[in-house]
Amino acid sequence: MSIIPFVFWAATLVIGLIIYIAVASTIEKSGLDRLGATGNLFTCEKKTDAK
Amino acid sequence: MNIYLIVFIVYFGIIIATSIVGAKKVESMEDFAVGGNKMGLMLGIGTSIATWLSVASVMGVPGNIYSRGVCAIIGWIAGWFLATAMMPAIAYKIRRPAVPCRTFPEFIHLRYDPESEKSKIRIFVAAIELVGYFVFSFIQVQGFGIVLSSITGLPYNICCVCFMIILIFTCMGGFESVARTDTANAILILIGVIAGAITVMQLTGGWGNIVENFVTTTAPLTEGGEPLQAGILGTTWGTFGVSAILSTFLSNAFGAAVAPHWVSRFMAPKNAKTAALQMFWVLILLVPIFACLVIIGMGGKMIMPSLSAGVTSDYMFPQLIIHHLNPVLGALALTAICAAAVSTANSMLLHCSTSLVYDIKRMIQGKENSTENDEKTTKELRFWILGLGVLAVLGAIGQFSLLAQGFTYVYGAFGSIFFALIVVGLFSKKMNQPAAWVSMFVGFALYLYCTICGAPFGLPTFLVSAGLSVISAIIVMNITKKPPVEAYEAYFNDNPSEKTIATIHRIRKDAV
Repeated sequence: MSIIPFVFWAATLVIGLIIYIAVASTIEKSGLDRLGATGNLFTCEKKTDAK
Repeated sequence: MNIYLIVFIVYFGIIIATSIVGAKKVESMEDFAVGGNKMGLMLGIGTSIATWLSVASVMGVPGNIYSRGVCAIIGWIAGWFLATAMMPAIAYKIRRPAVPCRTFPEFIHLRYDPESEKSKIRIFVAAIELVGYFVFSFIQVQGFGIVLSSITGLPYNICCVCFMIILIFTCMGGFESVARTDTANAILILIGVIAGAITVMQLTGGWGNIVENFVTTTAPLTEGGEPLQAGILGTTWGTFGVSAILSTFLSNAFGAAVAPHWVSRFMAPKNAKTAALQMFWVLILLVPIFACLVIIGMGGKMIMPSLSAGVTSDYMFPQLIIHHLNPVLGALALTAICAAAVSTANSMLLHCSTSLVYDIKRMIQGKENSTENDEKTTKELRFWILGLGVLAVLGAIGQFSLLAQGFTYVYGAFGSIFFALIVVGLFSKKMNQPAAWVSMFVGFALYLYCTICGAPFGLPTFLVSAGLSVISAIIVMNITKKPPVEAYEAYFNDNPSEKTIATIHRIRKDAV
């Protein structure tokens, strides 16, 4: 059975990871809370310090 | 009463109760259209997954693999995954302004016609959106009708009417209600397709047997039909051929990535990072669901080599469930298919009514900004959801088309018309109104021509229509004057000028 269709599918996941990291890095570089910069590429909520 | 009906009744009771609770929370037009631009990550992931999982994916994908072979993985699955992979970049740009737009046509108004009060381009785009989403809703009604009539034995037409009743409840609460229902549906769909895939693996004796059967079978699609060429289902391009599969792949990938309902979804999260991250998680979480659908499609060919005469491949999964699955697991899987239909149709009808009332009627009437008008618009939206739901059901009664193929046509048309508007508009400041009009007309005319008469030189249809649409946009934007700063500043600058912010509020008709 041809594995090319599965290779196509796997390639889209790699492309997705690359695009997301590029976007998240841009947001982090801006440092803006408004855009969701948190200091971590894979979170969108800042940890609040315990009082 | 059989187990299928009991599970159905319990499920829809929960969905209707959730929707009524959600409807009470709606306070403003913004709440209704985009959940007040404050949606969190988890709800965003849930609603986005459920929107991807329509009857076109849950019934259409296994049916296409069953009838066309593994090539359907390129055309549909890889196409939709590439669309999802590209979405974080579009989501970031769309949600970048501090005050985002509320609908896709409103975004077009700001980006291409910010100086106008009654924007013609906004009304035109809203009309196209209305037609496209009406077709999508109609496809979901068909899918639901097929499943419910298969289970209960009730006439297909009566089942379509049942669908409308459920749909009315789920849509009335607006965006947040739709998002909450979608999240519950996404969990159910996951359980349903996993149950389906596990049963298929048990019935066939495992993946090895499934593959061996799939690459050797000659069983026709329906009983008494033409036998298949041995091995054709396991080839890269299957029964479609290279051009048709690549065209399907491109339509699904680039058409879905710029489909107006996705652009609207990117306006709802609380910030740009949430909008991008939700789509990344969706990409990952959809893998197990689609892997199950592949197993069901391929394994189905071994369990049921041919379907009954007179049915389409869309009936494959429902028939597999009814005749071969454990009744409890089968009930879950069938409810999952109906959940997919409801979750997609309710968001499509929400888009239809928003286009009609908010972007066409309100724009033509040119009403003043006021909280009173906002409340009136929200009431009208509910009325039109009901009206459009009735029309979708009437349209679906007695009509049949292939579910996944229908989606591909609409995505192809959306991509050909809107790709340049969205992608070039979000990444090039030069993109202006004349280029937007030209690209839409070129894209639409070529898509129509290539779909009916065939693309020249055997090229994929979408490549010709969307490609020439983008080229025409680039030419026109370079020979005409630059758009005003307010048209693009919010999408390229984190701190736009007061004038741009005032323009956004004016276009949104924010109550002051």
